[in-house]
Amino acid sequence: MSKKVIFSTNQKHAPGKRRCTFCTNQMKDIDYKDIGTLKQFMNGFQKIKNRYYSGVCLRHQKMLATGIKRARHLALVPFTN
Amino acid sequence: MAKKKVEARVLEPMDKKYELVLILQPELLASALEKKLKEFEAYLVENGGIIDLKDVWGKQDLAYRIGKHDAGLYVVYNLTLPTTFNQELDEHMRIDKDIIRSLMVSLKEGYEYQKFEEEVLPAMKEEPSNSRNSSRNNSHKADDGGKKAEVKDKGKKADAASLDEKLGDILKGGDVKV
Repeated sequence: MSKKVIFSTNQKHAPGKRRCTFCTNQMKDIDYKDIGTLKQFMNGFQKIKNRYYSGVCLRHQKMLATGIKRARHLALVPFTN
Repeated sequence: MAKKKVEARVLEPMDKKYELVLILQPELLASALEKKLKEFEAYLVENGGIIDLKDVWGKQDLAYRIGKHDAGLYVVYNLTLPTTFNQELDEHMRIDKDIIRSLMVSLKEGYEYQKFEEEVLPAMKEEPSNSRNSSRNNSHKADDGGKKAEVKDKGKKADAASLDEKLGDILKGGDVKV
């Protein structure tokens, strides 16, 4: 059962005042196979977005980073573009 | 009951749950893939592993080239393995030529596996919407075309109606005049 992740809440606020999407969606862990959500937090150059712009809390940002790095290792997501 | 007890391996305190993802060569045929996976599973079971879950994703494009391969066959396992077996398994996968790449991750308690199809299908639907320019332009064009067509039709209808009226007037007038 895949839950739908709501990204719309972050677009209302200015960067720096955004709220963590994973906290609002009550996601305890971030799956490295879930490419759709991972790509939301990646740049046009396929870099990991800064916490200031994405609004993710520190705990989830660390989990996100490991998730994206694992996905990169498995060639689900590119290293650079 | 006695038979079941014999079959099921007793869990030891050294056991741990893992998730293993394999990327195999894309050139393997279906029969060869089955054979390969059977051998691999037999190897796992020999060394005291238990296979909790197996999911074959199938052939998928890679995000970047891995050793002359543009695609790979993805297979996901959820395993319980003794912790001492870890290094040996890594060595085994490294030596195997058909396995391009692998990832083994220890799992937390209460982990639920989500199937690949359920995850990716909505993402695939979103992808065309992400490439906004092309789709939006197309949709706009299509809409405009439809509107224009409607307008044209209306004009035609109006023309036809007015023509009919005029004809009627002319005929009436003609009747009167003639």
